[in-house]
Amino acid sequence: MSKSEKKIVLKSLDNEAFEVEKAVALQSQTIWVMCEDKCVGNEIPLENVTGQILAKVIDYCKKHAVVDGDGDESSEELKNWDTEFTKNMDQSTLFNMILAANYLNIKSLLNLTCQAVADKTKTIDEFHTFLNIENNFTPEEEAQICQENLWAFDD
Amino acid sequence: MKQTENIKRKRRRSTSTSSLPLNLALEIFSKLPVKSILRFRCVSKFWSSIITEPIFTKSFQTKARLLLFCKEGDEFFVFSFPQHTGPATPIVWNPSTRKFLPLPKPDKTWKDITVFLGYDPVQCKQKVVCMCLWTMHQRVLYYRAEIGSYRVIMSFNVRLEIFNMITTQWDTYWRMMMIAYHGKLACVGSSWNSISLWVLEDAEKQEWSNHIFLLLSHYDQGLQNFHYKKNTVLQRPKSCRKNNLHRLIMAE
Repeated sequence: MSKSEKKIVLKSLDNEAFEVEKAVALQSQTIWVMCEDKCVGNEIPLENVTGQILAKVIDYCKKHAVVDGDGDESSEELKNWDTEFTKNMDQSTLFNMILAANYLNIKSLLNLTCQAVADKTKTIDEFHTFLNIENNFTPEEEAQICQENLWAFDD
Repeated sequence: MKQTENIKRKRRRSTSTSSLPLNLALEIFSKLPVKSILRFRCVSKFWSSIITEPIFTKSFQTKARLLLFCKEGDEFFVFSFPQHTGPATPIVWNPSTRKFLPLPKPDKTWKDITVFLGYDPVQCKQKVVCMCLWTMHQRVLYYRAEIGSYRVIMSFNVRLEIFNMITTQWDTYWRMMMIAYHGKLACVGSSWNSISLWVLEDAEKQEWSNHIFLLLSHYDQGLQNFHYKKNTVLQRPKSCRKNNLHRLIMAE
């Protein structure tokens, strides 16, 4: 395999191009299928992901492409890296990371980002905001259901 | 962004402009701790009902077991093992939702009735089965029955809720013990000089295989309390009450 075949170019929604090792990009099942089917050239347009998010996704894939398959120590290190990776992401970044991980079909990244949201969602208001849920309970119904699960409100 | 929690907060639509597809929202929801999930039941009718839906309970990582619960005087007991006998009304307790479900009386009384929780892997539901005499293997419950003068073993498939009749091929029917053997139903019994092990090889075709073991002299007491454990059939002699004392009947 020549050097150029090992590389692949990912193009974001806002036309930002990222050249990455094929092994890095193939962690995305979506890209893997595209390459398998030979329906794309060396440049893959990703119409659902912005450059800002794609850069983060690539960071994640690079890290995981290097360390995967090594011993326990590195898996511990990888775990810490994952925690740091999502730690300072704001809500909208996490939201877009989840959508990107889902679209690109990177199961471990989807798990990581969903877990990060679950960990950050502590209050009912946060839950409402993040999942954009409309409250369709009457105040009476809401009070009753809260009453039934009162123990869940203890800290 | 610190927001204060208020149960009686005013109705409002969230300010986010877009929302996650349902499968992704569920993915997040299933990663929340049990307490948060119950707390978030108040957010909407959909999220309140989803926690009892099989699609959600299946994806929920820390799947909680259903336990049996009973009351003795003023004290409550919760059992984590799958059987409970006695005249008290069994109550199913879900430790995650902390809800109790007293079971309706199956017939006239709970006396001598064994209650068993069976799991239906297709509907992802727990089902309660009540029986007088039974043994349970591979989500199929077996019990003995007499139809007229005809003695049979009945099977009840917890998932399909279907009864089947299995005919036996031996005479000493009532002396046989039903045990689990390699995930199959087996019956063990003894005659004066041998131990007979019948294994139900194919429940549908009702095919039994028979294994006969010659009895060693000190196994001449009545046989009961067979267990199948780590490739060995064990027997607890009548005279012996301690659970850890078993006789080795057969080893593979």
